[in-house]
Amino acid sequence: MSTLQIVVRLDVMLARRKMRSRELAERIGITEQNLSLLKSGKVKGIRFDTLAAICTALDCQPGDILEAEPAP
Amino acid sequence: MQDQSRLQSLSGILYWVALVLSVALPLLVLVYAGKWVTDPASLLPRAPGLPAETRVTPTQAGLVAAVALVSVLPMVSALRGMVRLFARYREGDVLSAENAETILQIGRALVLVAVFTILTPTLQALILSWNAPERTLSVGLDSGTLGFLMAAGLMTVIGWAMREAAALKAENAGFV
Repeated sequence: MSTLQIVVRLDVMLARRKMRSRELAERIGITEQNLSLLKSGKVKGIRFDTLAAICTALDCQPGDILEAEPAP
Repeated sequence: MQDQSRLQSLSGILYWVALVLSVALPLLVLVYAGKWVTDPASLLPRAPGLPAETRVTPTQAGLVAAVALVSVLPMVSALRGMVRLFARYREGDVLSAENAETILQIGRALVLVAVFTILTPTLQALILSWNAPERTLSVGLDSGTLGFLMAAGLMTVIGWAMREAAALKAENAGFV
């Protein structure tokens, strides 16, 4: 059974909502640097309250941002 | 945070206390060592069990002074560790792996302090009684030394706990 990895599709949702990273970072109250790390997947995890804030700001579901794909 | 500012302000005071003590303590021992070497008879009150007519040679005085100088090293090491720890606490750097290692180092140094507290008077009494008709060897373990050992054990356990806390903080920092 191949293992899965979680990838962040935040840039896709940002493009769909025509929102800049800076605006999202301001709305959800995290730094642009942390948002950039999140977009690039260079974080260990995402807190539920951060995820909820992102979903509220982008009017989407967690599944629109996070996706599971086979690990390389 | 109020607790953090309290920690920082008290650490600022303790930093200077530890720094002064880390310099003053070895100097004080050096002064006493010099006094003992130049006036060996002044050592007799350190071994009350010895007959008053016991003669202390310069070699014995030098050995007693050397033991005293060596025995102060663990305390100086502990104080230097405290200086480093309080300097970081004063800057607000509380939960870090470096602090955990420093606390462990202080704990180890305090264990040595307790061991030297037991061994130093024993060794010094033995050296001073070398020329006496009867040699003296007394090993003492008082409540103060036991308290020191307990404090050293506590510091070691706190150091391990701090190591765990620092690892948790590092892991938490990876979450957005």
